[in-house]
Amino acid sequence: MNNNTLDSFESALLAELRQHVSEHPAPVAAPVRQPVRRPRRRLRLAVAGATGIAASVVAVFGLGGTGGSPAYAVAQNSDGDVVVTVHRLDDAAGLEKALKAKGIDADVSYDAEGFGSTFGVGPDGQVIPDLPPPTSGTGGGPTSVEGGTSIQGDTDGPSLTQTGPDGEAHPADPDDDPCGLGADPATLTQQGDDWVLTIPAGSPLQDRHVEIGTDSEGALSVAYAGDKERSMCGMVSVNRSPEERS
Amino acid sequence: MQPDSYHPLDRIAREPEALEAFYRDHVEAVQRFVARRVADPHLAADLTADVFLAAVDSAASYDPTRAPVVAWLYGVGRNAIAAEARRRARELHAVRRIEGRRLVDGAALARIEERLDAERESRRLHRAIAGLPEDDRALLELVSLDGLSIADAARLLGVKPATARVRLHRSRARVTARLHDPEPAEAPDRALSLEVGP
Repeated sequence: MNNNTLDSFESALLAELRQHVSEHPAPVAAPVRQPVRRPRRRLRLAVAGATGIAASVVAVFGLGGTGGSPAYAVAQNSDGDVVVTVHRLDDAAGLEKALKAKGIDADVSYDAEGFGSTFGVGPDGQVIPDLPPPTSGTGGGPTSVEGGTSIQGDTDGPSLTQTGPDGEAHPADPDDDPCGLGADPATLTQQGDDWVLTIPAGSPLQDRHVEIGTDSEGALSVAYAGDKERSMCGMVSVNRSPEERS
Repeated sequence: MQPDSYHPLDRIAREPEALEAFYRDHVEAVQRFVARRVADPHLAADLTADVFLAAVDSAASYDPTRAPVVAWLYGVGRNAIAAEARRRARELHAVRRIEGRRLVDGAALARIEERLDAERESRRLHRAIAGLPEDDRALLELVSLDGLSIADAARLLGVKPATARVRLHRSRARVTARLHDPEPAEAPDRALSLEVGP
């Protein structure tokens, strides 16, 4: 405890505070952790599965006989498309640098607890990953999405999926484009053990901040702010089946 | 008394002894936190009382796995000062449960003013930060002004440390440019609403 002498103001304030607590003690009720009320503009999403799985997937790829091989490759086709191949969820900083060399400003992080289960959009449209998990609804689909766009793992295959105010998921199409970035600013597919992210020449993603990370199941995900106010867009690679994980 | 004599923290809302231990540990930090934001000694005294009352009110919400006590207390302090700024913007007079300025006498006033003098440069930095977008501003305030680690500030604000680092880098560049602009002399009455947004 700090035994510094209090001055007259500090002593008087302490006396007032002590009196306040004596006269109005808080009930001894079990400590209730008050849920943090998030601003409405933050869209939320829950991805199914325990967070522990992410770590195990990372371990499998990190140690699976691919010792000295590169974790990723970044190539640019003659037509300007940037093709990112992620072999292993490793060397995030190296991938960041390689993308920067192609003019793409990306933040890459494969932390198991990192951005994955939840995302939000800040007041300036920037992507805010890593919101605390929703207190309820750890089921498969997006929960608590308060209208607009969300990232959703697609059980049939990797794709950009958008959720309308009606809560129904449907594929992106130019006529109904909540992100305002056109139908396919990028594609994310899985080829064997690799993830392949293709950012076409002229795609808006070539000049905006992109977040690359893993979802709560260890699948690769990509997030970025849309052009429309408060829109948030992204892709999650298809989740592996339990057999493939083990 | 033991260093953890006020843990779990919600004890400070029930037990005067726990509250006193908490207060003695943090009263200097809270007063400096306030002095980095406002220039008026009487307002500083009021806000110091506000911050401790707000801490007592929300002690049950403290989650030790998320941030150290002092980081949490700075979060509480930002909210308390922002509430005051909102009241001022709407020209509402606050009815305080504890009116800090009433407790200030001559000698204490001199100490408060010393603290305010010492934090003059910090207030200049705080004003330069004021033009940033709210989320960037909160982050830079807590790290550069109040000395929290990037990891603690990121946790407090619910962002990933890597994201926080990117945003800090960007914000610092903007603020550095702004600090080199000439600025008018400090105006205490306007200072609060300028320095703290809703």
